[in-house]
Amino acid sequence: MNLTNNPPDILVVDDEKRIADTLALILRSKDYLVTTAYNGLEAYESCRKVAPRLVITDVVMPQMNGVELAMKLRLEIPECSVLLFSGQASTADMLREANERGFEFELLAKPVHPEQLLTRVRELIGSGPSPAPPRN
Amino acid sequence: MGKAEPTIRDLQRVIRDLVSLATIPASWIGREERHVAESAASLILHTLRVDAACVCIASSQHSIKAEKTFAYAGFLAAVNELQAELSQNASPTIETLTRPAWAVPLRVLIQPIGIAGEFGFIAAGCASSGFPSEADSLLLSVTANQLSVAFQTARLLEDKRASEQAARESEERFRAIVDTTPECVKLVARDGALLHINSAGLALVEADDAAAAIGRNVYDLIAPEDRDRFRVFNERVCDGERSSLQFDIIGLKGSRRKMETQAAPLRTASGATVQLAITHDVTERSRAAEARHRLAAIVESSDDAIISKDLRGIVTSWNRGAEAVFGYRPDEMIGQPILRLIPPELHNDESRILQTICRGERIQHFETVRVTKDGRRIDVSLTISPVRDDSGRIVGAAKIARDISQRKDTERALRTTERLASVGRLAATVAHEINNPLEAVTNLVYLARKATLRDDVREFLSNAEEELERVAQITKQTLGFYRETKGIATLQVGSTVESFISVFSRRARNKDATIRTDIHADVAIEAVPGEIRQLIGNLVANSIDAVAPGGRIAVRVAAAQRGGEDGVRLTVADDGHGIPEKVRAHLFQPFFTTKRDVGTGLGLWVGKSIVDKHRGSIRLRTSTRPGRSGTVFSVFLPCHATSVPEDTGATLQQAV
Repeated sequence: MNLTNNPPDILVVDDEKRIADTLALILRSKDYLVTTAYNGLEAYESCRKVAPRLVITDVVMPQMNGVELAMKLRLEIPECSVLLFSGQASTADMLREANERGFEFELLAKPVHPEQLLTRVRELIGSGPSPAPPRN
Repeated sequence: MGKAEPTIRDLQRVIRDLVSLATIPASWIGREERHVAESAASLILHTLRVDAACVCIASSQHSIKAEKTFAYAGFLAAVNELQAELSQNASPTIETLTRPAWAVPLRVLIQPIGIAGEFGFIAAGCASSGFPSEADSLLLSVTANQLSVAFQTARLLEDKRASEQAARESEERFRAIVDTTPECVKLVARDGALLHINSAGLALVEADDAAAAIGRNVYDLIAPEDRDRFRVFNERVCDGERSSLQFDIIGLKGSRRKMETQAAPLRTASGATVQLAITHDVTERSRAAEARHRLAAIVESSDDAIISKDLRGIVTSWNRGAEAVFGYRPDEMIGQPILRLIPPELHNDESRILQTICRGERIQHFETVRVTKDGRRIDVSLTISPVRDDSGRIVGAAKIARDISQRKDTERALRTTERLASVGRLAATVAHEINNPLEAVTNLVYLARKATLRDDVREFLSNAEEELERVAQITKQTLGFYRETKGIATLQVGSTVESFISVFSRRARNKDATIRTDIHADVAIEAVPGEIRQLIGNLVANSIDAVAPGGRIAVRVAAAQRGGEDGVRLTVADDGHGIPEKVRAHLFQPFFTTKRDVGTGLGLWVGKSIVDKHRGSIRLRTSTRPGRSGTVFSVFLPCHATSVPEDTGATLQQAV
């Protein structure tokens, strides 16, 4: 999906393809460069190739869950921001374990209203497209 | 013998006879009257050398007669007749007496004997015509005097013997009474020596016979702790006071018994005063009394209501527990029908209970409902037993009522908790299934709204988005997904309220209620943002539920201080129905709800937990006065949450 060679602004990860895709569309409507992945492992591989500035990931996923992904990214690509979003209560326990190991992640509860998500993304990485043109 | 001059021989004889008369009667002293009379008659016969002699003492009570003669039988009778004729002359008389039986007449000298109140004489008869000489008269007169003394002495001795006999008999009777009496009777000397004790007493002190007890010191038998008291008591009685005392004794074989003694001073023959005591064994009585007191204390101190009633269902006793459980004082219930406590629809229970009791059966752990003085209905567990009199007849029932309202409440709460737990588990499993499609739909509707060029379609999709937002809000609240994991962050309370309150705008609109926000200062605090949002949400949601259609809700945020500490005051006020007094106490308890169909009973409990967790405080003002009713919840949160403790279970997720 990355039409240019520029690194993507955002990687959206969700095993529910429709969610990943619609979120990508919404973010792209605000001119962000967005790629998608449908499980944690795929997302991790993708980031290792080209690191995005922000990863928005679902938590409960097969193969590698969102919290594992987030911890790996925090360790290996610390400049990459991570935003978790989940619709399941058990997420909290996974996050608490991560917390106990010294990790802190922000979690948004599904469903997240697109406007709210866009606000948060803007706060994290500024308005698209990337990189923000340096101001004179 | 005539009036001849006394010869020397005569004088010698008189002197000898006087000596013998003076010495012999000494042996009469202390002898019986009859013996004295016999002895006197013989003495006269031999000393005066006469032919007959007699002695006669007669009164209405008794008469003593003695006669000594050789050949003059009936001498005494003849003298007696003569004396009667002479009308009991009090001076000596000399006569001549003849009787056909006698060979010759006798010259008789009669000398009266002076004994008070009695008639008596002494007489001597002699065939010689010279009788009596002056010596004879003198001798007879001396003998009469001696005899008088001897008789009076004998009489005194007789009286003494009789009174001694009477005393002996009386003492024996007394002893017999004392000995057979079932109470312990004893005599105790001032120094504690046991002078006498009856057989009942011997049994009490466990002595096999009197020898084992008499002479022993009573103090040794008194229990050591009572010994001093007993000593003082004994001395007081011996000083002349009547008194009574309770004390313990330890028998010779070691058994301890409780005694009660009634004592009086008794003066003995020796002049000493001793203690005469009648002592009963009150061991059983005091044991029974103690048992009664103990039982009464148990009944009185019981938290359970213990009530007795007769077979007509009239209350006969009412303990403190009953007062605590039912609210009635004993004087309000004793004599009243127990039906007072039974709700009208359960009045039939009472006759069933009484029938069971009359059959002699017990009713155990019968769970039912009773009514208190203030009209509350409480769950009770009843155990009812028949009460019998000494003859075994059933005369009433004893009832123990335990207030199990709290247990029932707990059971209900537990059932609710279990229900919530299963709901919670269900929620957790379906949350993902609901929230994910919701996310997708939200995204799709958003994209569709942005993509359409048609205003009407955009309006439709906008409405759809609002409804989706409502669903999202409901799932978040109901499924408890206000789960913050980010920990403490800086939170602008004012802005949070402003942005968050819109979530409730549709719900308020549905009720035609208005929510006004009044942000005095947008104070920043350190807090767990999701929890603060949940707190605001719970308070506002309660207000919306409380107000009538057209009601007003005001949410206010202002800077505040508490004990010098900066913070924020969040106030949520409504003009709803207010909170009734009896509800207020339970307001912050889990599972307490007045919204029977829709409430979980957790909102305010969770809210309070969140406030506590942030070291804040929550206050409530409410009024149910018609026209001025309403409720204000006022929350203070400090700016610096020095440490927000790890999850204290403030969210539904942990509650279930």
